[in-house]
Amino acid sequence: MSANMTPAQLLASEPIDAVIQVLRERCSWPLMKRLLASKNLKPGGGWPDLRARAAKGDLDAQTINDLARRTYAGSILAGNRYVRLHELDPNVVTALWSRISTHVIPSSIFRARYPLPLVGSALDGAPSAFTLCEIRKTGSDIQFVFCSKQVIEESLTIDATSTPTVMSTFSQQFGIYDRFVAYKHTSIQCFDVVSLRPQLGRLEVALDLSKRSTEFEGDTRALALLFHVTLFLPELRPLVDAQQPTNLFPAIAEIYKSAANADTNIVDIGFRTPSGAVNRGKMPSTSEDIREEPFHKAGSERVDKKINPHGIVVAWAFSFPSGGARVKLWTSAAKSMVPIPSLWGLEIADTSADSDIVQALNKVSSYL
Amino acid sequence: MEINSRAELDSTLRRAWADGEELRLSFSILDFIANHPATAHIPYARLQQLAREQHLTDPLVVERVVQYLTGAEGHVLDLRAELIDENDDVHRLDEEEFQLAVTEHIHPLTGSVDPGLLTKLFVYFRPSRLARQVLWNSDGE
Repeated sequence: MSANMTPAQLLASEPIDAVIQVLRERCSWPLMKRLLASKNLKPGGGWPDLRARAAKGDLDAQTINDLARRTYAGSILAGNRYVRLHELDPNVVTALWSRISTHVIPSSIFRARYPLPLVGSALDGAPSAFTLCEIRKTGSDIQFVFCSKQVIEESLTIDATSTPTVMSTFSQQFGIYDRFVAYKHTSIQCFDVVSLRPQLGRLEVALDLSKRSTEFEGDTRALALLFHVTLFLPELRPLVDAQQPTNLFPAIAEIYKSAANADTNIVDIGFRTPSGAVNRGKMPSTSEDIREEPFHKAGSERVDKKINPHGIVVAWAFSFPSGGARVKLWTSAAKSMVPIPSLWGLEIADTSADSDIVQALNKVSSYL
Repeated sequence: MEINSRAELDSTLRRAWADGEELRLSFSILDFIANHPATAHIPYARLQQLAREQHLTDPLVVERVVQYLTGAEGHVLDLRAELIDENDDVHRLDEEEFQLAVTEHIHPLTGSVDPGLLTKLFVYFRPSRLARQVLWNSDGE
């Protein structure tokens, strides 16, 4: 962090144009539209239009300013995540807090800009190791935010006919090709979070999925992060030694079997029928439930709803605090065939605050 | 003129098309909707298939009928659009998203300009409120 500035002060002092630029990396446009609508603001013409409106200086601009900064701050703990859950003894947390409260967070290149991300050469040169940037206590919950640099591979496919000059040079050496694929490695900054929630008896490892590396292996990275936490919180070491987090697979079928209601929409499902067929059903909108779709409903009722789902995507709306989340619990048809199928992590998308994460995970846990 | 029944709808179509191929196709489309309650996604190819089943010879018949049935007078079909990306993921567009996509190439999921967006947009039709009321006796959306 800049000298004498808290993360909130740093965020408040950043020009709004820069805030929106980093916000669009962490917040999907459909989520941003819903948040704008909650403030009675029109979505307008996408992110470029939002930046222009934020700079106008009128009342709407001030509302957009506040919303953008608050949404970005919330995305540090929320956004899109890969989450694993562990059982947590509340007494362990009670004993920890006196030590955690006096823990001095080391200075780092990330902390100089936290909660904003590094950019350019500063990011390219940043460490890929988990670097503690914040310890946050909210009620009885304690959350650790770690930053790290990850590298993602981006590709661009170019039709040869659209670049005749390049094609001419290329073909002289390599021959005639129809299409080019160009790759580049791009540095991104991840904000990974470990949350201790003693009242829920739960520890969450929530990895940042705002942009995902093609090499992303959620389970390995989650275990590595948890191990890193135990370096200064050895009381949590038994969780690492146990290796396995909460098995989430049973929730898939239970969510499917639950009663349909206005706040729940199953938008995607992978399943096998009693006759062994492998099926997939997906709705084109998160406001519709596949269970009510006529084709799926007829088939499901034909087999007395005795399908065996191995993957589900459910969109939940929350009332208090208001919010929402889209949760994906998915494993392969093959992995669902073992005697005790397992699923060690889930993906949460389109959350704007930690309360969305908590409510989504509470929902999932209720089906275990 | 307000239309309150299938008979009145048929009369409106007869006034528009007399006894031509357009009328046969229009009736075929109405019959299809009436026989398939809860239909909400009719691709253009389905309308072309209905034309072939009627042995219609003029290739522009479907185009003329669609223009009429999505217009003000015989509004039986609503025009809708969806985005299908390179992974075959489908996203239904609302009116505002469709307008922004067509006029400014704003991708509805990224909120950014996508020069190749038009290649991912596909139109389809769904029965209008009038069609649902007259053919299904339904007021629901």
